[in-house]
Amino acid sequence: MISSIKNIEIKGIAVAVPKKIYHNKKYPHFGDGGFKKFFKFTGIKKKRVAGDKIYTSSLVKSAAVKLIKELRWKKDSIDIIILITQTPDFQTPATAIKIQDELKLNKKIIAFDINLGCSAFPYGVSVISSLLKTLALKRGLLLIGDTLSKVCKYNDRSTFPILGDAGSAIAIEKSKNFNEKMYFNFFSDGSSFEDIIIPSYGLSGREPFNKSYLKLKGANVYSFAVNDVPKLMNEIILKSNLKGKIKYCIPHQANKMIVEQIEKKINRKINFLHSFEEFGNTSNTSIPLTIIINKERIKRNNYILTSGFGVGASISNLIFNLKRDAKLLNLIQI
Amino acid sequence: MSNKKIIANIKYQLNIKVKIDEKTKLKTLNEWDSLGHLTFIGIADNDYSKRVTGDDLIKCGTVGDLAKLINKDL
Repeated sequence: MISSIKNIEIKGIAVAVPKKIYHNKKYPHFGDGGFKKFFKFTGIKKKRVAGDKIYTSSLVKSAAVKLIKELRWKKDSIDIIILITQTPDFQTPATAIKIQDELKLNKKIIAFDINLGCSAFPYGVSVISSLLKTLALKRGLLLIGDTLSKVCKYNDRSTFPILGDAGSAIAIEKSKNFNEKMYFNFFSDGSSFEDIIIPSYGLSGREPFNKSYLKLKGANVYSFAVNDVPKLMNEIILKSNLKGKIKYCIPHQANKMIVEQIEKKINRKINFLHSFEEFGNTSNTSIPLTIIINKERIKRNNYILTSGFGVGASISNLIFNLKRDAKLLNLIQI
Repeated sequence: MSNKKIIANIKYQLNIKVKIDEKTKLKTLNEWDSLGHLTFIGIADNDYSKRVTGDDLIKCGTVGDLAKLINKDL
């Protein structure tokens, strides 16, 4: 099953990354084969690291401030602000509410957080779009960001050298004149919840709070990504009736091995865009980051298929039309 | 599909330098590391249209067990 929504437009995207670069060549825990073997499989040369003074809110706020300014949106014209993150500034309150004050947005705003990983971008666009339509609102700001380097164990080679930090802001507006539909489909399989997990955050008593790290069962995740994800992508291509009209595809930038395996199963006439080599797997921000990194290559007024997949297990796909006047800002480094 | 053919394919694609057969213990192979697991899942998917998970691999002790995973339900 796929869903669609019309009269909703993505007006702009901004992405912020930390200035600090970690070069995987320096990583000491690869074991046999070293960096060369790691790079052959993952394609990840380097990644950005937030460090102690940069939080998820720092990244998404930097992106939001520049995007609001570029779009010339009046702050009191924004009706919704949603942050999707797995690394909020605090367990509670929701970071989106804190950001309302820090950005000096209207107090009569809808603000909340969503806990999702790499499926965040299509999910977030669907949630904001639905709220704009059903509550008769005009403008929403979707913030997506993670600083997973803070919850990776340094000597765990399945997470630390893979995951990079980044945050983004996506401006979404309801517009009567925008007739191209957006298409979505979704998939959730909770039986795989332990394949990517930070056990302490849920207060489930599994591990002492704040003393556990991100754990990843790489082989299970790979199997899920190369089997379930392309099936769902091909379903949305077929059922949207946009076959032949989709010019670009951005799968979540998990790593080279996963991305290439997925791409083998999708129509070869689509242009695939990447960002993993220079930024690693930027979790929930990999899709907006890949759009920004490739903004000069993207010809406007074309359909883009984006596929988010990961922790949960969760998949969400979105096909949207990126218009000529949508603002894609230069990468912000803080 | 014969186990022999599958094992030859595993040896080629995992770039295993030593001689292997059904009885070869996986823990004796340097190439059977976390990236080897992913490569095998890719072989199962690409060459045999077979879904194999990490949990399936944990239960495998020998190269023959890997071949059995491929032949299961084929």
